[in-house]
Amino acid sequence: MPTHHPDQTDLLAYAAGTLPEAKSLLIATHLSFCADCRASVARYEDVGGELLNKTAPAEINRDRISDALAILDGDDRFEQRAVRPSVQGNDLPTPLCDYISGDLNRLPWKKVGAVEVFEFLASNQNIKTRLLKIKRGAAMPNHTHEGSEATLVLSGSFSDQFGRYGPGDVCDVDQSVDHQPIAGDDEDCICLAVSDAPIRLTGTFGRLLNPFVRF
Amino acid sequence: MGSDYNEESPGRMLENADIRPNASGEAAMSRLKRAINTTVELETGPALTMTLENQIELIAAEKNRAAFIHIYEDLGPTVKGFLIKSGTTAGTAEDILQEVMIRVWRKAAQFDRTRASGKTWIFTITRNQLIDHFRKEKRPEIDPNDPRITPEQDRPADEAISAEQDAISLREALDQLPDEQAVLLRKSYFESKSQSEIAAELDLPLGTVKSRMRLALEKLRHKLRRLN
Repeated sequence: MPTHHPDQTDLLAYAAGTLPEAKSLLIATHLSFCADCRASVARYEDVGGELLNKTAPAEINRDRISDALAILDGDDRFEQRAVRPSVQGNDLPTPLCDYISGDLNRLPWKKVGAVEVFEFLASNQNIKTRLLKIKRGAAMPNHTHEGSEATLVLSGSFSDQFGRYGPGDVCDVDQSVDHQPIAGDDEDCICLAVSDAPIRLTGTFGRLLNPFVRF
Repeated sequence: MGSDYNEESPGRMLENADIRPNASGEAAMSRLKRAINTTVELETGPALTMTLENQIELIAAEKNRAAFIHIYEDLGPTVKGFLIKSGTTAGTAEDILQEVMIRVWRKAAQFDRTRASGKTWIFTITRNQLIDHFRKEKRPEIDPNDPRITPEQDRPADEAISAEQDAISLREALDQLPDEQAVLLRKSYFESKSQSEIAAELDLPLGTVKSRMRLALEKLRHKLRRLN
């Protein structure tokens, strides 16, 4: 079970439906690792059900009921309770393999220092969604964040001054945090990272690189 | 086309069928089937409360149109009110409501009363329809039946009772929230506002919005330890 969880307010926002898609993807992926956070989200969905129930009703157009029945007449799009087919060819949890299919090694990774980056889910909200692959034992440059960045470990691990992050763990940092994650020695660390602003490198080495390295 | 709906009042028929809320799904269903087919029993049967959960299960089991009509008539006005509160015009709300109800029909087989109440389930469908309609985004979700996800802890045997108690204590907890916290929940759920949007609107630092929200959630979670 993961030991580093998303903030409760993010779980609420996920349940209420107010998170952007990329952040929802990160939360949903964490949920597939974490029964506790699933229970929290279920509870916050209950809050939604309760608030829905308390809403003042509005008069409906009853003709739409028979229209709906006409649409459903002979409708065969009846969705069964079944596991989504596994077409992805990788071990990623379901929410993520809806976005990334096939062997992770064959993705068009871009090398940036000790890190390989695969960006996907282009968004118009200035949000970057990337898979990161950090070589085993490698250190990322020290950096802070102009906005916030949430990183979810998919495999392997990394550590920073706050602890060790293994599969399912979420590291959520904002501009106040200067950290230097180091990947575990045993295997490469693959993470899902969602950031809403470019990170800023801080060490001497980092400052030199800063204009060129934007991952 | 829509013939069930044009009959005298299928909704009332359901209201009078003898379906006790605590009856097991299967027994309830066979009683309801009998009730629908036998007018005599309908007229003499005791007054009934057929739960929303029973109705959804009835759609799943036999594409029961009367149950569908009943849900639409019963919950449609609330869902429409919710959509309007979320900033939707009345016309668009009517369209989204119809789409929500069509999804209730198509997804009925996926409803699982041990995971969510009927109300909660319809809330999630409404929420997803709003995201789809206004943001044109996908809604990433886990598949609860995927064997690869980390298993749940064991559920208590008296799940049904504890779920019902949960609903009551949740209602109480919501009613007792101080207004400065309740307003944050309302803005999240009804107005689909992000935390930064809420902070800007209320002219509060984002940190304050987050910490007030955490306080509110702490209270709700405290009263609702369904998992242990």
